[in-house]
Amino acid sequence: MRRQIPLAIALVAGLFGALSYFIQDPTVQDIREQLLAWLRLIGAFAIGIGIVSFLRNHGKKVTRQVSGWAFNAVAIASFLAMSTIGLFGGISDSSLFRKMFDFAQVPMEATMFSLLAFFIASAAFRAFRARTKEATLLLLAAVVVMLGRVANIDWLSQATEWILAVPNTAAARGITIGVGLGIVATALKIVLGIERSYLGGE
Amino acid sequence: MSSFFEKFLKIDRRWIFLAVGLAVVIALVAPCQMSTTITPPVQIFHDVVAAATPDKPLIVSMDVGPSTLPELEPMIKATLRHAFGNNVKVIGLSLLITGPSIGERLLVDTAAEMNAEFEAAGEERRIIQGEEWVFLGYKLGLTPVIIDMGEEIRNAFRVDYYGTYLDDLPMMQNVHNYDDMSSIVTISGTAIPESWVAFAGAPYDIPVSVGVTAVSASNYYTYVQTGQMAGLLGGLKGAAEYERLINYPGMASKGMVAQFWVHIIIVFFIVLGNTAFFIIRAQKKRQTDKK
Amino acid sequence: MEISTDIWVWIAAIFTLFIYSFLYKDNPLYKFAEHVMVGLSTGYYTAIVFHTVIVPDFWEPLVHSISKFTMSPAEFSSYAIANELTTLPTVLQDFSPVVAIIMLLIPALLGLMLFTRFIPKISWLSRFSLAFILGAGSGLAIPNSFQTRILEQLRGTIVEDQGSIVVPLFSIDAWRDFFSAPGIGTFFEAVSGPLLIIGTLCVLAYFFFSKEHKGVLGGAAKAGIWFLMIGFGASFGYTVMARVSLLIGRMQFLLTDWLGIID
Repeated sequence: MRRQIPLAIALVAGLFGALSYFIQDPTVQDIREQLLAWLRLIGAFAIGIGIVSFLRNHGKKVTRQVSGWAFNAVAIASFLAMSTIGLFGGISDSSLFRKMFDFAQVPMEATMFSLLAFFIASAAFRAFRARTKEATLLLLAAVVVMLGRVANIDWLSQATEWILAVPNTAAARGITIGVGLGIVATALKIVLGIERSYLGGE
Repeated sequence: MSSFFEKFLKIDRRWIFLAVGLAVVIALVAPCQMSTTITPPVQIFHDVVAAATPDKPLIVSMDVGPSTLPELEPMIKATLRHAFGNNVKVIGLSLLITGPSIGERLLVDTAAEMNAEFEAAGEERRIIQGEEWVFLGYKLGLTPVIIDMGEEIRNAFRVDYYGTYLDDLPMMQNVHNYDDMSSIVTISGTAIPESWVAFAGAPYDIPVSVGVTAVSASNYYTYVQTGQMAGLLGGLKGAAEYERLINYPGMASKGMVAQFWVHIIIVFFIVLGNTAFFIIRAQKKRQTDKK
Repeated sequence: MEISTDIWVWIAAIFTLFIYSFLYKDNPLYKFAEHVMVGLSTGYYTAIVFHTVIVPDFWEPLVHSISKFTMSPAEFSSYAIANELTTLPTVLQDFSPVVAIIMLLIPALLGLMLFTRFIPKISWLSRFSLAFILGAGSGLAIPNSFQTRILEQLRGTIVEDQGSIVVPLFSIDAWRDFFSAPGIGTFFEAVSGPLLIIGTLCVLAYFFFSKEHKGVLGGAAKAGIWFLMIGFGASFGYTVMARVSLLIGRMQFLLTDWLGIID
């Protein structure tokens, strides 16, 4: 029962989700609406799972006082501050919550990702080598795109656009179709109960 | 001799960091401008937004987060200015959880900025919330939300970001689903534009114009070629082109000079690294040949 | 052209510098900023989900349904429609408050069951919710993925649609242009369509693992690798651009909003 019922749920929900795309009957579409509303609401709870994991993870390190636990305490304190202010003080554009988002969270996350600009430059110097024919092709395409996107030279700009629109599109299309087939195959396996790894062990 | 190149390849990477950092600072402080050539995907994006009519609002889905903001904020701003400038109404929303706070700020700021310009020019016109733009805020669920909006926008968004029922907003009176909208603009650093294409563009036959970070730009060319994406803005360069098309020198245009110099430095590093690498390899080969 | 006096701008600037200090070497200031960031973003999710999903889609409709418990099905249905309680079932013509409550509690129950993952003894209960999410999600994805990623992409390779940048397959016009004015530009224009098809097929050949890559398939797969390499190269070039843009954005903030050195 612990396995059969979930498989039945996946089969019914999956078949309905797929077939309702083709059936324009109002009742079917209404049920589809209800299915979507449920998915949205369950999704909200799934975010709750992430929050609980966050607290368990950092909380464990604080209680066990592993090295650097003070930083984990900082993470928990920041979480408590932000969530309390947001839950009780509101999220409008004049709220403290928004100030903390605009002037602490946003700059920090943006800065964190901008660090990669430095590392990518260093990697370009140390690791980006024309060792083989294939690597040379990759390197040349990268250099043309890098220059062609910023330099104001007509032929270079056109060459870049051609690389993007023809060989790059062919590559991206092959990957897109391949991934598409993968999605459809995996989705079918889940609906039909062939793929059961989400059920875990036992 | 060989030890020089080997040592050279192992220089402290902090020197490279310094070179990159300095290039950006100097390029930003030095007062120079760069013109930019317009590429076809940006031209298409521009034309689709320009084709929107005042009676049918434009959806602007601001699916952005802090980590992609420097690239995407200029695109959103340019899109909003372009639409408002043509008297086109905007339905703003966000399908990414970090988006609503950013989206609301951009709508409020852009409207205020343009209103100040109207006032300075002595024009009567003002861009008013509820009449020229609404902000629906964030809704969790991505695919379900996009599908819902195809049936009835109120199924996905009962109220707007400020808690007002959609029926109480003047511009939403006769707007129910994609049939009542001009086109969709989705700006994101995630795969959300693909969902807009799959669940709105394909089934409801509404143009989906896309703005993405440079990271995903090359992968999306395949959708532009098929017409599934009605135009594409890729990264800061795409944003700068769009700014040029609407005659608005924004943050993207200002950043392009710095972008140019850092690219030159990185290409220079690639060439330098490869030169050293091939010299070392040639030297090693000669040494083994001698033995 | 003056240094900012806004405390919030200073907070943003200081946190930005804390994170950049990592470029010199890892240090406690960086670690502090990193952990504040993680905490804030989790807190942000919590508040946003509460205000934009839990309250309007669950709590409010539930309160409405409970407070109007005594209404008849017809009365309650029109009340729900008037108040746009759209998470309630429109499936039934007239539905009672009891039905509404059940319809709200089912997804809430499925959502709560996810939390049993944290309690080993009853963790199997979370499978029910997972089965629903994955099953329904997969079902919804099948037709759309097939349409967008496979049919439309194949179609675009062969048929010319409006708005296409590259004319697919074989464009007579492009070849006529090439023969009337032979040149690099017109040549690339003319070969673009055939090359796009050949490239797509070769990349697909490379991903076809059911047969050994020998003979024709092997040759095609090899050519597929070249197309992929150009694609990855273009992607890398663009990625560099993206990261640099972020750096420019942060520097614009420090130089403009904080220090006031540039406008």
